[in-house]
Amino acid sequence: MAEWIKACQTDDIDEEDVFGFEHDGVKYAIYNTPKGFFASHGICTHEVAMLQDGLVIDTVIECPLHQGRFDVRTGKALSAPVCVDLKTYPVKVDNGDIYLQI
Amino acid sequence: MSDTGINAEPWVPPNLEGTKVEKKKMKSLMRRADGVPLLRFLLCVTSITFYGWLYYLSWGTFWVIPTLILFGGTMSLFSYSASHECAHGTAFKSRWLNESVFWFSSILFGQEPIYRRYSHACHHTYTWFWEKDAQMPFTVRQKVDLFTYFRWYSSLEYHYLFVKIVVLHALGRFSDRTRSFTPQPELPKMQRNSIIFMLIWLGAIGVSLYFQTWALVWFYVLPKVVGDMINMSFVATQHFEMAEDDLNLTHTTRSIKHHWFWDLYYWNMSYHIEHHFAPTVPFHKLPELNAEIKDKLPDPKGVMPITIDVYKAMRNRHLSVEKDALEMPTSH
Repeated sequence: MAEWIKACQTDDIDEEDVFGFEHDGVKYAIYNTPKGFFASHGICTHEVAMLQDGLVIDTVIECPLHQGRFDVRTGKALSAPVCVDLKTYPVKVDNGDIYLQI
Repeated sequence: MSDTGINAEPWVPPNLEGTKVEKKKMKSLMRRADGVPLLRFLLCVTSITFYGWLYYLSWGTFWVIPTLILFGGTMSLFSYSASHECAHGTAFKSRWLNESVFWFSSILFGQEPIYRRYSHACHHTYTWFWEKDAQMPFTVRQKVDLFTYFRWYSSLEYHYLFVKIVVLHALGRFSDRTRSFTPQPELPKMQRNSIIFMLIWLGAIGVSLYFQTWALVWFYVLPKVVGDMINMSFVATQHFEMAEDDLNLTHTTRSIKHHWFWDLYYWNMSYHIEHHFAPTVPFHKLPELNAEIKDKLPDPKGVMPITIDVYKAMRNRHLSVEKDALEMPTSH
């Protein structure tokens, strides 16, 4: 059964930025975008690169290694060299804390 | 393609050990723009057109040689560099502008865009790792004869390879190497683009034959052959004769001395270690990145001293008898 895990606080992530979070050895990336908070698997689907070091542009995350782009709301791969979608996770904010459903 | 799943072991791409840039600063360096790169693009295109005009005016005089070098050198350097920056997707903020210039510059450069993008992505993942880096032509661990170096420095080798790759890909024949760094769904697009490239080349030849004109030879082929030698002198400074299979970028990669004229067409790739350290930083922000980390970098040399160093290293290796005597350089 999916469970909600506390990842960080809203203040931990600047606007249009990304925060890396690890739970049970799995890496996640949490995004603060103009359209709200979103979360995804923390590693790019193209090569092993940490999305927490990438660039957030509106609701898009750009991988720091090869600049492939994903829509963080849906995980959809938007531009080469990525072509496999990113797994996303539901997010909720409660009293300034950000929770992921994993 | 490596495993990127839940339990993926992270491959740490080559980096600068212990070098960090404050996160907010790095984010500001990574931000894209349209105005500055568009100005650079237009400045390059108009000035290169002007050099082409000078070259045309100088036919029949001694000045045809320097103007040919100027026209060809700047055209080759610009097409290589713009295509490279657009392959990263960092040239322009607007994606359509980035992809449009990517196609334009790749046609001028002569390399199909999708292959260029994926082979270069592989180069960044495995910078100068033998048999992993898709853009590493030879290894210092093997004796390579001087003729091989000549073929690379004259650019004849990569002209041959680019044409061969486009023809094979147009026929749907992809090597295991290409398949290793290109996702399967991209291969049909690579084939489609290769067919487009062949049609462009054959069309240009057909039009030249129909109109009985040598314009293509005088204004593209000849300047490109001459210019690519200059371009290769710059490209060779990036990694030739550096350490291999080493994760420290200062061992595998060189930056060169900044020169305002050549860097205009080289799109600041003189800051090459900086570019590998943070490929998400657009070319016009590399001087700022350099200011942040320059105390961690070796002093850059000019193109000529590096070319001489590379030549000496390859000559010594060519002449050496004992394979064990070959040492991988770890400094500039």
